[in-house]
Amino acid sequence: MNFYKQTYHLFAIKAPKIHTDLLWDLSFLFIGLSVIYFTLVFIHKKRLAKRLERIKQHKNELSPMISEFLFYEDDASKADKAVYLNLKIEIRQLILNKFNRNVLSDVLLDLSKDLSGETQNRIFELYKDLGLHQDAFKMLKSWRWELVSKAIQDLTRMQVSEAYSFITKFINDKRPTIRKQAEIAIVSLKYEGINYFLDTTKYKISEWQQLKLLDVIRNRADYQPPVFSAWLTSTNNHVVLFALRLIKFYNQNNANASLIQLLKHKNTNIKLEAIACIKEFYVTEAMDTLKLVFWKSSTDIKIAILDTIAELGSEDDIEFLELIERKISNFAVTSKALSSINAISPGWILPTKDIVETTENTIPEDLPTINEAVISTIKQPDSPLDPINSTINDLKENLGNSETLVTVEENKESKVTLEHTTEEITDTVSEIDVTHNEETKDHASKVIDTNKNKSNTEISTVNIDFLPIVILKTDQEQKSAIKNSTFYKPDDLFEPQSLKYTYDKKSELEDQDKSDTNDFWKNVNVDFLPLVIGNSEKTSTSATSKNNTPDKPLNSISVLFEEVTATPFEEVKNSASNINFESYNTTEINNIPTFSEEILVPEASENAVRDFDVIDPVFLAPLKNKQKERPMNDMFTAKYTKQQTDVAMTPQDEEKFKEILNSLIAIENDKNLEKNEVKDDSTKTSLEFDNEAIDITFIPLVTEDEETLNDIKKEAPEQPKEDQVRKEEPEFKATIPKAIITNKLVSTPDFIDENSEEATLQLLDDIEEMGDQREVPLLNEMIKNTKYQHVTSRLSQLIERFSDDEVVIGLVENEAENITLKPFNVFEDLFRVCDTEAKLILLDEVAAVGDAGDIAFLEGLLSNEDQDISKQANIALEAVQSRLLLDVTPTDDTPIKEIEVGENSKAVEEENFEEYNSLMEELEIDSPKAPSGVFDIDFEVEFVNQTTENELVIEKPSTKKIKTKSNSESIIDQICSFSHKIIDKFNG
Amino acid sequence: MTKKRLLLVEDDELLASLLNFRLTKGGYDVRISRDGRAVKEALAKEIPDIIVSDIMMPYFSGMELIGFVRNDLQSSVPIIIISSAGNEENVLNAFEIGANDFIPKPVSPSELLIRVARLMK
Repeated sequence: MNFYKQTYHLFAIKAPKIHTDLLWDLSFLFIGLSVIYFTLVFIHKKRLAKRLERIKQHKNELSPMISEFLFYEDDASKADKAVYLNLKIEIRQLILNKFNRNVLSDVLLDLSKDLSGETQNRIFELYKDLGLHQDAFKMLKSWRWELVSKAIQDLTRMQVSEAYSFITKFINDKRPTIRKQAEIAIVSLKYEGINYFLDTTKYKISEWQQLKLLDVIRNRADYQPPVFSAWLTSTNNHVVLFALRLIKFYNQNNANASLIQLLKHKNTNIKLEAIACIKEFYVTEAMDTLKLVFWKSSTDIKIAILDTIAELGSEDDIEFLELIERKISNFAVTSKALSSINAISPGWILPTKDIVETTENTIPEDLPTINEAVISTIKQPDSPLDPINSTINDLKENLGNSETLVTVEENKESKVTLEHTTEEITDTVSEIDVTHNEETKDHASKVIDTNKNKSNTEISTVNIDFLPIVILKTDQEQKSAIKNSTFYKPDDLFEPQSLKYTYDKKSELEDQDKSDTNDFWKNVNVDFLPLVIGNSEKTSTSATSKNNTPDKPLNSISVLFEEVTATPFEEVKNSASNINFESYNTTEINNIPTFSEEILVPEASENAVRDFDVIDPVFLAPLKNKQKERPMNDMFTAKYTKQQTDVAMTPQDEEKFKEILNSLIAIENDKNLEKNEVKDDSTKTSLEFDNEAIDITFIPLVTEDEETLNDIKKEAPEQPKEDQVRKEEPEFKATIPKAIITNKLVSTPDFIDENSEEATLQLLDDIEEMGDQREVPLLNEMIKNTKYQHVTSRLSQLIERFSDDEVVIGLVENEAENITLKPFNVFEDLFRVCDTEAKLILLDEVAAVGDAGDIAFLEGLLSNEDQDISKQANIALEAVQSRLLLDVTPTDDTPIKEIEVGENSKAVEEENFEEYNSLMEELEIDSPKAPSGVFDIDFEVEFVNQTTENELVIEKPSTKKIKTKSNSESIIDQICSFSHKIIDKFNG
Repeated sequence: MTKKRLLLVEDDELLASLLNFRLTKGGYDVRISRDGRAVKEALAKEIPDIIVSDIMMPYFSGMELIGFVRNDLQSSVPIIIISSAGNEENVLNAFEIGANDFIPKPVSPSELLIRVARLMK
């Protein structure tokens, strides 16, 4: 320490003189700043957490609502339908709030990720149905890139194909995130998107982006890829590269010329991709170009070219490859060239390194004989086969004085039989346990090198009868067998699996060595062996084929496996002769009970059926068949020479009908005559319309004939009473031609009656949808002419409705500043599509939440045919009107007035509410209890300013509002509790 | 006729709610557990007739849940695994440790209902 003190003196560094107060001030300042900072962070975090909590809460509240929507089925129960309708109304109210709309949008997007199938499709539909995609469209106009990108992503995920044209604008956007998002969107939204993208993009397409685009394309259902070679001419290299990859992916091998041309491209990646395509599609025409391009390419491309030549090339190309090997110094390239040569012609290039010269090698002459070199000790397993044991003992005696080099363990049973299966042979060979030492190895090699001929002689003296099927056919084969055998080829001593055997079938063996083997086999008792039947041909074939290829390793012999049961031959023979085929009950198979019905079709009926092909029976009047269901027995027992059919028809129609039939018959006859002029008369007559077959009794039918009509109506099946809407439909539309009933007021075609009730109602529907007050004269005229009661009521409804419109439009002309268009009525929209029960429920809703805009709709329903609906409409109308009367007319000073629904209801007559409640009870409808929170509707009821008594002018919702009180109960609950409240009030 | 009890283990509240709705509509008495700890508590009280579980959950993965049910509880209750990680390794692993079925995400609620019904047979 002293040393440092003495050595270094920090003269230059001095602490600055700062006033202590300043230091304190600064400290306080920083403390204050940090407190402010942390406070702000805390507040921000708190706010963020609160917001997230709120979103989460809203999501949880919305999820059951969405579930209801997603899993709603048309055949749902009444309660479900009621809930569905309520939800639909509520959700429309809910999405008026932007926050709720965003949350709902997020919920749908989240769910679309986790769900698939039909549910996912419903999510897409719901997203569009609620108009949430409009928000995304607005976001597309934002200057903030993240919003635009999110909007594109949302529209893509929800499959809003309408957004395609909007998103195409961003395909060449400068901002890469938006551009990439737009590329994926375009390819996802429409099939032709990929075409547009490849046509127009000017920017780089990254590898990752290419993968994503490819993923989008290949996952599209029923996608038919365009011909991508069209984009090989693009000026954008990235497009060319992507097109090449797509060509390869979709195997579009129709662009060979372009591919060859692209080999000369400057861009390495394109060149590599083109080479890959050439290799993939086996474009042999590209060989010359590949060779030309080779010399000036980079190493990677050279290797790729050589790889392609190896695949496509022939022996003519070897010269080129050898040239490369000589000229190119790069090891990777030369190595590839050599491997390519060997790929084209295997064995063309042989290994040269570390190979010893053997031309000067001489063969040594003083090698020992084979008996001295090879000694085998054969273990004798216990066996009942004495002849074999004796043979083995003989062999041992012959080889008794030699050293033990090879120990062979064999299964005697498998050795004995000449009918070895190939499997057994393989097993036996593989079981050979070979031991060796260096001395033996050397010795054996000497034997092979020097005394080949000698050894051949020697081995022929060895008695190898015990070896069952190893037979040498010729001398040459014998030599090769000896050469390759375990005993004489030292190299193979290490590899018992590579032993090679030559063998032949039994007959050939007998020919060669009859004297020995015949005697031997006569003594052998082979009864214990399994009887091999029916495989001789295959075995002999395989044996012969193996004989032709003596050097084939045993392991590679093809083996036919057959499970053989060890049964003595005599027993088999006896059992085969004793088989009694009659014992098998073959008749049972033939007597499987089958059910068939023979239906007798009388000739006349057959003709009649045939003739119906050309007669459209729809226009015919209903069959007035008194005997509706004839028993089947009667039908078959009766003689069907004549079929009585009564058809209600006017005399004019009768004539017309006959004319049509005759003309059809004439046409048919003419055709047949042309085909075959010489024809039997009987055939001709068969083609004539057999009036006898169907006897049609034409009954004059006019509107005056009320009895007939009534009869027909009685016979017609009644429509189910439950569905009142269906009841409104004409009951006999399919059976009674309306033109006949209306007594030909209008001359109409036979098949279509434009004056029918159905057609008129259809027309009225169209008028209602598209018409306005100008249709009133037409409607008045129609009301005079129509005879249908239902049509009359419908016409009067329409006239009334259009008359109201007229008043409104009249006001528009007078007061241009007011909004004059008929407001969109959510109830009316729903009312059209639902059934009676749902309509009643909907009217309850109108009674509860309806406003001035619903009055016209309710008034229109007062004249409804259905008593329940008209009654309910009346109640709802009174409820709405009474509520509106109670409302204090707002002045400019009080633009917003809060009122409570419960208090408003005081004005409603008690009688009406009793009626309402009783109706609810009748319908067995429970007031749907909505979940807390989101179902508490905070309605912003549109205020209606009544300027005059009859003129209703709707003001903008933003100007004057009436707020309802928000509490934990739903509107329905509140309404239901009115009666109790009123009673409570009366009771003080 | 008593409803079959189904334990749905899913941390995503939205998806859980939706599947709950569908399965309830399909006639099951559905209990939902959000994480592994809740599952353990629920299983300690009663073992349901079938378990539908996600793999990735807080505290306790779906795989651990299978092990817990099969080894600790010694129960052979059918278990269906739902996961977005539907790679081969996960699927094989799930089946190996005792899952009865595996449904990759995105899941079709109708398909899930059918698979549940099949296992309940």
